Amino acid sequence: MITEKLLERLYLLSDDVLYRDAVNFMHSIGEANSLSGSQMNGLLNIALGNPYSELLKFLQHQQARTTWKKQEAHVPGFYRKLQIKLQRLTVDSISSIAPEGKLSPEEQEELKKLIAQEFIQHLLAENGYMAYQIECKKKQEENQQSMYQRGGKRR
Amino acid sequence: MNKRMKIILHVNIQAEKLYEKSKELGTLAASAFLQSGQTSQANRERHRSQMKGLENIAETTRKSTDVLDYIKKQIARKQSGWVTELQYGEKLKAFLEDGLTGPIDEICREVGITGNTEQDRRDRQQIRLHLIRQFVRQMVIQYEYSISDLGRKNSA
Repeated sequence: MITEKLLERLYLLSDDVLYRDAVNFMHSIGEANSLSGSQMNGLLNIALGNPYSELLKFLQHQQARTTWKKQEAHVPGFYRKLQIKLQRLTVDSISSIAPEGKLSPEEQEELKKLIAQEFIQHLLAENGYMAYQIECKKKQEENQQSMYQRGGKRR
Repeated sequence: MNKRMKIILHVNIQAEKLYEKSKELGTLAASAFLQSGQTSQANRERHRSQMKGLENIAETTRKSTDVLDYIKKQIARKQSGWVTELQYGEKLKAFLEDGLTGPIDEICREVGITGNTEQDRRDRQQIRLHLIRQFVRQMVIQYEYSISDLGRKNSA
């Protein structure tokens, strides 16, 4: 069972490290290589409703899937990077949350699940926010382009 | 006075100093919503519940990043009032991310939180959360006041 003390440390880690890590992860992936909002929601649901080992199996399954559409060709790459990130993150986080190292295998598994949930929740928020920012930028560029073209015609 | 009491006292002092900023953002939230043009009674209720939702998250969460995630999600869903030209959502996010660092540092100095031990970092986290709660509370009150005031002026 995860004690209140461990939970407090997890929440501190989430604010101090995982949030910034999730933002950086999304920026390193780039919007074009990210998931759609509904895929990201699906991922969060898996993380919230299953043990950590099942989440890893899901990530592996998504990488092995061969039925992705052409426009989703980048998706297995996203899951591969996320799996590598989570595996590192959970190990590092556990050594920071429980430096004494006296956790049972069940507690370790539970803690990994909670760390992954925290990280994926931050990912989901940043994913949507990043998509919105890029959409705005595109609109701005289109507006500038059409203004430029109108200006050119007038001349 | 114990440390907990000192923190509450100094958070209150800093929250007073942030009153003008919370007023500014509360008024901006109301103006942005009216600017969005989706001012039917149903949309008005929806926007109000989003603002109350923000307040509710701030009051109940144990992590300040939950508040930031909530704001990002409202922006991503292009909820009315959050993404107009007035950029209410962006400005609120930017302020909560960066604008509280100075007040938090000042509180830490006053209370004597100077190191980087686990307890120090936890205290800083608590101070940030207390400040966000006070700020959002003040901002939502101003929003409620402004929305009725601006609504009255617009219909006059």
